[in-house]
Amino acid sequence: MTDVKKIAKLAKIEILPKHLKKFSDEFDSIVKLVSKIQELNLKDIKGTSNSTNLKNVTREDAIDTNRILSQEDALKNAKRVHNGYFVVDAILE
Amino acid sequence: MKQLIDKSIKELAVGLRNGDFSSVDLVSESIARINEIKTKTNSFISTVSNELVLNSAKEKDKNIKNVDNPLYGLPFTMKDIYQAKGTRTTSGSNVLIDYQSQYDSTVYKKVKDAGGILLGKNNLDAWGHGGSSENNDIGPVKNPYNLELSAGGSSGGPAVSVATRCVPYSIGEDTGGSIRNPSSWCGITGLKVTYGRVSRYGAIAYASSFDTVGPMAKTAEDCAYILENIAGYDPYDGNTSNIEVPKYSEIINNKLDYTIGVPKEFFVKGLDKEVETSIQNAVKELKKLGCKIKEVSFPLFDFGVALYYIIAPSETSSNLGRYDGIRYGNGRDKFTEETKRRILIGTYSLSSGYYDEYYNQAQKARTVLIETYNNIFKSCDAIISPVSPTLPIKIGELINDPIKNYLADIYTVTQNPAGVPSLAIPTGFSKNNLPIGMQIVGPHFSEDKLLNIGHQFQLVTKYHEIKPNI
Repeated sequence: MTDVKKIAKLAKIEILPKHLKKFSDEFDSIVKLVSKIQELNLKDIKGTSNSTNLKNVTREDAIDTNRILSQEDALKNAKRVHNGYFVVDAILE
Repeated sequence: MKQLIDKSIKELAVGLRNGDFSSVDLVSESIARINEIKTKTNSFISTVSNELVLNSAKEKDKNIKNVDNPLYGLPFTMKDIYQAKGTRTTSGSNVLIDYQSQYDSTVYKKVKDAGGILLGKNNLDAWGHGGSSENNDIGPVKNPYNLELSAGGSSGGPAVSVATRCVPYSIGEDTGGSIRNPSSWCGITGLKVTYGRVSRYGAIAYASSFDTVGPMAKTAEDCAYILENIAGYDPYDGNTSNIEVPKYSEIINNKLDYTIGVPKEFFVKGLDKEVETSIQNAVKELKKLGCKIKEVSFPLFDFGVALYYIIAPSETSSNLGRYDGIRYGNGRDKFTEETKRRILIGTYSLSSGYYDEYYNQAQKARTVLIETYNNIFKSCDAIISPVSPTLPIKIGELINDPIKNYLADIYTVTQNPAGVPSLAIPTGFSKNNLPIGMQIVGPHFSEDKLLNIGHQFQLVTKYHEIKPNI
């Protein structure tokens, strides 16, 4: 059985102990389903990440004032703000 | 009951300019109809205030004679993933339940600039994670043909809004069938565009290399008018294409002279008999309209679900990493179970040790999938496919069985990894009066051909004119 607790920790997802068994069972059945992909012999094939073959799309490294949020707008949805800043929990003890 | 919103976009545009009715009449009808429908079907998450939309309609009525755009003065809705400044955008999730949009998405800006009037934002599977519009914190979207059944998903709310004539059209989003599946289950027409045909800027991302923005409406003709307005290059979405946007609404009038492929692997056990018969009849109709029909093979069909359910969760685990409750929204504990499952699967397939076996292997399979489509399209202009293997399913049936939920997407998950466009159109009704649809899939940037086929089919069939009795 996969260590779902460890993966959940990596993804910052909390799984309550009472749900762990259900999540683990479901997880294993999904992994079994998608493991079918390993039946394909794709040894010399290169992967594709963009289906329409665009490559290295770049833009000028310049400020576009049309899509700058004002400080007020940028902070509008934050639950915790202080003097125009976002508030985050202390990282260092 | 006959309504103004039964009319096509073209008829509405002519009627407005002839003074047969006004934009205020249309918007008033929309408001009344939304009030009738929204509680019964749970298809809306928010609506724009009556005062705002009626004022906008009054303004449109003053200018209508000076503007050619057929969308001018018409009401519409959007799936609740599109940013529109001044509206709430929840993605169907408690994570964003009180999030207020800080800017306009490109698709919203384009429709607004064309004169569209936003009436409300529709319910969905949260983050697009699902095919039944019930994996969310808002409650399931009910099918207007039978309220015990699912409307399909993830763009279930938009499909219901169009099917019940709340608005002439809606803007949906399709990552693995999210426009096509609810279109089919609600008896409307929906277009999944080529990857990069319509800008995704301001759309809440599910799986970035699959996500597409597209129209949902009564007919292919209506979709043509909408697509002309929303397609095109956008500097804010690096994946949009420079390819010129054709005049879809003219091309759709061409006589059909296409070769249509029917993949033999698609019509096998597991496909509902009534769905199969309905699509076979539609294929006969296309033959009568001048298309050559050819059997083709799609050998990767059985691998589509595995490929999709590796890459899409991988991308979503990355995209949803931004929801940390600091700059906006609530904490990650608010994700629904289905979203948590997809984040976990994605994190697993991207983690060292499993990356080659899963994510990399799936990206390689994607290369072969694209070659499969390319080969088929050497001898065919388009292929026909079911949308869903079944008729609309009872609410609760898919949400309780993740594997069944994923397998239900079997016909719609191979187009997004390949980036190809697909038009879902109604082909009939089951003996229990439930809608059935099919997909017409073509090569990259063949929306003109797909809409042409859809429109010519709809000129000789009436399924798209039927609406639920609700």
